Amino acid sequence: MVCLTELSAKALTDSASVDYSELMDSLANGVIILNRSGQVIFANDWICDHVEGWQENFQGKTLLEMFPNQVSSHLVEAISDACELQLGRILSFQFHHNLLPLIRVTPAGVIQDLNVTILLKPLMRSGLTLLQCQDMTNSVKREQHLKANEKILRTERKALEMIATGSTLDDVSNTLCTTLEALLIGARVALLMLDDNRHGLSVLSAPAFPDAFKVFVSAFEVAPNMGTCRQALLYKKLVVSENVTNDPSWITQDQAIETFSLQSCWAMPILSARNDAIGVLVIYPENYSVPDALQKSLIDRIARLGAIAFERHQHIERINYLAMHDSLTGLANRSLLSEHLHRNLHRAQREKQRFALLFIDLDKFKWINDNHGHDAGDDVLLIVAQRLIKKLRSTDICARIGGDEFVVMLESISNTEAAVMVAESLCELIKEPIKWGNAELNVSASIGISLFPEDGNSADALLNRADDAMYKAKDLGKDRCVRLQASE
Amino acid sequence: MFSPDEHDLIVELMNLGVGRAASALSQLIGDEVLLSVPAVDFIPLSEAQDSFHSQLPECLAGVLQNFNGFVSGRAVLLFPEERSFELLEAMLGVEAGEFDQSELELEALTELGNILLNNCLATISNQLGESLQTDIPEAFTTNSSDLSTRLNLFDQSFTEASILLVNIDFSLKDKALQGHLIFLVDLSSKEPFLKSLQRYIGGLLD
Repeated sequence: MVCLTELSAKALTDSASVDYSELMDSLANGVIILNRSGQVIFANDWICDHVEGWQENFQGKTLLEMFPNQVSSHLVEAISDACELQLGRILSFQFHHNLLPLIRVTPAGVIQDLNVTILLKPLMRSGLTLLQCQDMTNSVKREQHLKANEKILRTERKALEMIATGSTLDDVSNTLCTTLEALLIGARVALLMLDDNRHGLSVLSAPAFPDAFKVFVSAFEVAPNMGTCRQALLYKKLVVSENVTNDPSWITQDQAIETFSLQSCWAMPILSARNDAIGVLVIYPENYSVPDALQKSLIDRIARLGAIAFERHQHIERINYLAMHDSLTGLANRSLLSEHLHRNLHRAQREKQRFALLFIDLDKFKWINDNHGHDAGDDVLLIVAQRLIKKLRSTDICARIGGDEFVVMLESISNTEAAVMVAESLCELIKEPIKWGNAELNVSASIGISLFPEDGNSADALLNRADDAMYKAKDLGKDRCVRLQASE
Repeated sequence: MFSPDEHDLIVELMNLGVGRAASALSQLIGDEVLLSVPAVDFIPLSEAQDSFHSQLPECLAGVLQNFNGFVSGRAVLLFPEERSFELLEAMLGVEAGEFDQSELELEALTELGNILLNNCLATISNQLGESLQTDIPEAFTTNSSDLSTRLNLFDQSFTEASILLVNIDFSLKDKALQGHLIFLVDLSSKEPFLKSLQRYIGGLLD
């Protein structure tokens, strides 16, 4: 402590001998001192190092004399206001891009333009003016990073809100693509989804591309190593092709490369929570380029949002499916049947057409369950369902509405006989023996038929009528089709 | 404190200065900037706090510049904080950000205020044939309750001072907003100032 105090005391007494020019030269900012006529009377080392073509014999010259065509008129005017009128000035780099011919050499040896803000401070006592150059390059970089991050955060929030409030997958995808396009200036972005068979890709969103792009994507070779997107799906990481025109995995795609003016292709797989590739986020930048660290992290974040949106969409689809289908057989359940029945009723009324309901109840089903176990029963239901589906037209609906109860809606029929014929053929089909291990299971069906408009003009009336007819079929000895007479 | 003639002259000079500032700003950004002065008020120091409260928006962004010469004091340009950055974004042609109070935007605001204040002060001193120096500007953000403290209104250097509060309408492209200029005039230097005003009025009458 004593030592330090002594030292500082010595420093104080020696202050008169401080070398101010050395001090100035060690500053990280540029300093120029100007006299009343705007002539330079001092410039520190920073200025000599950073002003391109700074003259050694600068003293007594104005900046305009030294750099006749390179000093901005705004700076000349501000210097004259400061030196002659003693008005303090700031010239922000944001309003002025080329005040002085300034350059810097980066640690990597690259020559860059400098962003500087210039301050002109009239020194009241001496009448001189202090010109200070503040290097803003790092501040600008920091700010750009911050702003880019803010933008990403805003995008994430918007996308998450959209997902949480149930926007459609199309809307969310479009938002993700357009936002990424806004963040990666000049780039075109598309979201591709892997088809259910996991071979084909289809376009979910490609706002910057014409419709023909969809055809190109879906027609792209299915081979796993073709194209950047497929490699991304395969390797489950970002794959970058800097130049698609000489990329072997893009061979045979010259036509598309030309049509869509493709240069580079960056493909980021969209991975599910279970790490399955479910789609690709693909970026086609404006020039031949590879993504930098910031762009990579941006792409990664957008791809994660894509994954959330995809998975959420799939969950909702699954929930909707489960709400409308029988989980064992995959047939429509009572709700979906009711929906179709009402729709068909309106259509038939409007078009004055006829349609039929077949109420099917399996005979001896309880016996199979009791004697062969529930697995056997389930198998029987599954096989019966498959046989029904195979026999029916795609416009007909087959639903399982209870344990061993099925309802078939024949969407339109020409006459009563046609309905009876279908019912009888279904009866025969169900009767075909079913192999269960070494055993052979035999079931039959009792089918009740009701027709619109003869047997009722509402969904409930038609269903009840078919149900009653089914019971009549049971009463008459099962394994048959019955339609009640008008008087019954 | 000022006679009606002197008051009118100050308003006139203020309009002239603001007009010059508008043309300097237009030149700076290459687009038309319109400025006008709808109202000028003189407020005694003792009423400053209340006036700021009643006349100024709550959150403020400002640029402060000290001046010295035939009259001394502090000049301040104030904007409602949020709108000021909207205006800057329009001037700089950049996209609107969510967090506007960045170091860089505050720096751009400093130059905007600098141009406005220098033009007003230089016009007044030029017209009156006097000289006036201005220091380099500094930007700040504050709220209307803390403004008096921020401006050091009640420090020792201004035992006798008056405040000139100028409303200023700013419009650029589709943006329009009201800003405020505050000139805190040190009245210990009142005499030369009043003399200059009277001489100018005398010259007009001759």
